[in-house]
Amino acid sequence: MPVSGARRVLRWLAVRLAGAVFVLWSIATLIFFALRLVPGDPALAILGGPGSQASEEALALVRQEYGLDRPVSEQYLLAMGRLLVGDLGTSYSLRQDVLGLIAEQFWGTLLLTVLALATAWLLALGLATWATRGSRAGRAVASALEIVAAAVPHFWLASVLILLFSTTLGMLPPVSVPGPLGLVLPVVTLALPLAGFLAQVMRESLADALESPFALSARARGESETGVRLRHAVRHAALPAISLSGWAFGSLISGAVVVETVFARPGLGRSLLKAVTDRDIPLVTGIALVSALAFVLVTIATDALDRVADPRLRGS
Amino acid sequence: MSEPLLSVEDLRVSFSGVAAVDGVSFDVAAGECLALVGESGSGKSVTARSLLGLAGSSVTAQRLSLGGRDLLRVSPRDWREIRGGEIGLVLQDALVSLDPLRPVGREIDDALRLHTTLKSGQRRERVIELLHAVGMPEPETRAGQRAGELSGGLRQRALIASAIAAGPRLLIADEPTTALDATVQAQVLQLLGELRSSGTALLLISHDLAVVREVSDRVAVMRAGRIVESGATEEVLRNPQHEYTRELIRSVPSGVPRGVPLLSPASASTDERRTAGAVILEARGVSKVFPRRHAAPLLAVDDVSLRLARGSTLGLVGESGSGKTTLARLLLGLEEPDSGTVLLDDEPFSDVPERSRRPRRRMLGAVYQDPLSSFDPRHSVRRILLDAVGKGAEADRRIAELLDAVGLPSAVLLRRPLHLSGGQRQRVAIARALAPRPAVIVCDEPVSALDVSVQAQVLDLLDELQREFGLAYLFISHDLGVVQHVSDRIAVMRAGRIVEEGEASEVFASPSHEYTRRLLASSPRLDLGTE
Repeated sequence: MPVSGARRVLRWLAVRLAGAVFVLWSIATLIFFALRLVPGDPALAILGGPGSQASEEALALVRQEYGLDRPVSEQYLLAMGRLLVGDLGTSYSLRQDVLGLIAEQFWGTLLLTVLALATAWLLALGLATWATRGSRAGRAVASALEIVAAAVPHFWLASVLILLFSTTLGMLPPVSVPGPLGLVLPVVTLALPLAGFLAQVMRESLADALESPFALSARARGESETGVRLRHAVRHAALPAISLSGWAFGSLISGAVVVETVFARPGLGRSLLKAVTDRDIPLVTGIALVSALAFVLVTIATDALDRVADPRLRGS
Repeated sequence: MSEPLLSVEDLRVSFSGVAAVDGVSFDVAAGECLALVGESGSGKSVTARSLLGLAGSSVTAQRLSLGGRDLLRVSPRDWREIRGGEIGLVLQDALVSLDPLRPVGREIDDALRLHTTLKSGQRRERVIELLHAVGMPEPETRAGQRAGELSGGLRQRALIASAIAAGPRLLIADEPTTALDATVQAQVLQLLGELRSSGTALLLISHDLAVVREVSDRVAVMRAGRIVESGATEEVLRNPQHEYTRELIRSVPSGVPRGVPLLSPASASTDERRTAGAVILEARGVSKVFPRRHAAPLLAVDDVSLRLARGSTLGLVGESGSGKTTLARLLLGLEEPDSGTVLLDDEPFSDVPERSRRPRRRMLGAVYQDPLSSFDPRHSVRRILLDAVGKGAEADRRIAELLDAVGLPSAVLLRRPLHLSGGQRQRVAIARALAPRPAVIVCDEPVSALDVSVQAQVLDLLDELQREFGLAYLFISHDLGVVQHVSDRIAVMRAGRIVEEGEASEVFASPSHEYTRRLLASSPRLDLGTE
């Protein structure tokens, strides 16, 4: 049994990883052709954007250097070949290796999103517990809070938090300074809307689990209300939220674009915004690919967690 | 009689002002089994839950005591000691009554952890002992499996093991065998009987009089929150005093001859012989295989041949998983057989293009177990029937005819299925099946979800309609009593094959196949022999 179990897990993982490679290849292809459709001359962008007064000769030289004069199919194969060996090219605007640029920015954004996801989970569990316990009025307040939190846009929430905690109370820095204190407002800004959303999902499944026959069996066995929640209901409540966490991580990455910009925090999100305005195609491509890679890996991780939490998924 | 273990006097439970239990009194002694009988909504489950302090509402009583201890004045902490420790509870279906995410051994272990001082190693041993005691094969392996990985009978045993783990003096079993097949039900009832013999007091809650008769010493009949009649089981069943008890007993179809209405014996007209006509629906050696992942393909229907004659009823019995429903789907043309042929009115109905099959589908109707899920919940009854009769000038008249045929008032037309009672819903389902004037109706467990008195009404209705319209029924059920009452011929199905087929009276009187004999022996019957 353990042997076949391990083999089954390995096979599952192999299938998922193969799928991940396919997804990444599809995304790289999509980005490659989508960027062809963007109006404007990439050679011009390399030489300083639409405003630059580059000569025809200079443009021709750049086209040759970057292979822009070759047929599209050849350019595509070249680009894919470079991707295979991990070469993301050179940033047009910063004249630096894209992979190196991303490596510098990656950890800050990862820290921000992972902390935000963890915070969102804790807040959601708290909200869902509150909403299924307590008085009728308390439950109404908790579910109202969920909806408000889920509906708030990041940029507005960021402004309100800065006004409240930095400008008025002076407790926290308005921009993201190094150190834990600087992380608080960006993390909370990212986490709150997600927490509202996750709490709605969790509350429903928590309430279902608490009213289910197996919860009645547990109570009739002498289990305390806390025991019923911890030993039985929480796991049932967590299942849909775990499944959603892969998607949630993706939304956090796009949320990071706004949050990093508002709090002037270095990271992938802010770099992406700048790369897009600069028409820096290699950098946009690189960041998009790395985000996609992170998203795919997190999705595999949440699926694996799902299988741990719900043994029924392992059967077939 | 010895001092009662459990004593209940004038128990009242209400939910936001509405009384669910309205002054109920009873006693249960050690080693005795009292059965609370009643239909859904009679308050029997609420009564059971209030004994555990789990009714979750306002509970009052003159007296509620267990072994001299006053259950009306118990702190939440003491309740947790009583639940599982003094009183165990077994619910209906272990698939949902045990946590589907946890191994059954852990659920049993929980009871030991809460009520004993055993260390985890000792508890593990005790779990195995308990599983062994409830007749679980390979207890070491089973303890690590989840309810979903066990068969219905085995998981019900695990649930019982978790309820008796801490040695409660009173066991409450709330419909403990309702979801089980006859042979498995017999085993579980035997297990409950053994527990009672060893001194545990048993409070059995059931709607099934045959089960009650098999296990209980005394019975209390509940209706609308009150006990209308109580006494020794045999005495109450043989000589019922209250009109409601009489109606309940009359509603049980087993032993009532074919064609005799259950509820209005006055209008019995057995002399009006049905004439079984030509064969209308036939299966010739049909088989259906379903591929499975990580397992050998499932031979759901294996070389089955049967014939259904106009105006007659063919009863199809078998336990869950025997292939009854797949066979029905093959006959209805919803599934293509892998080999063999289905013939409708002597013409091929399988392996033909849907174009040629569609016009003939009107000859076949279907009625299922759960009408609620076979209706669009947003549609009114009128809309449901309108879809079935087709739009046209005559539509409203036809709908009125159908309602009249199934005995529904026209007031239901504007209601949605959710707001109808179970019996009314099934009548709407029958009206819908009748709409295209079919020759055959396939009834797949049509009364299994209904209370016994409603079941009797629906069975009487089906019989009436058969006479009136010359319908042929393929009647699928796991309930032998029902099948015996409604069928002209009977086919017994097991593991995809028909193991026995013949005249209903002959099959029941002298079953020739060993499996049929076992099925008949294990199904509790209510042959009171009074009439």
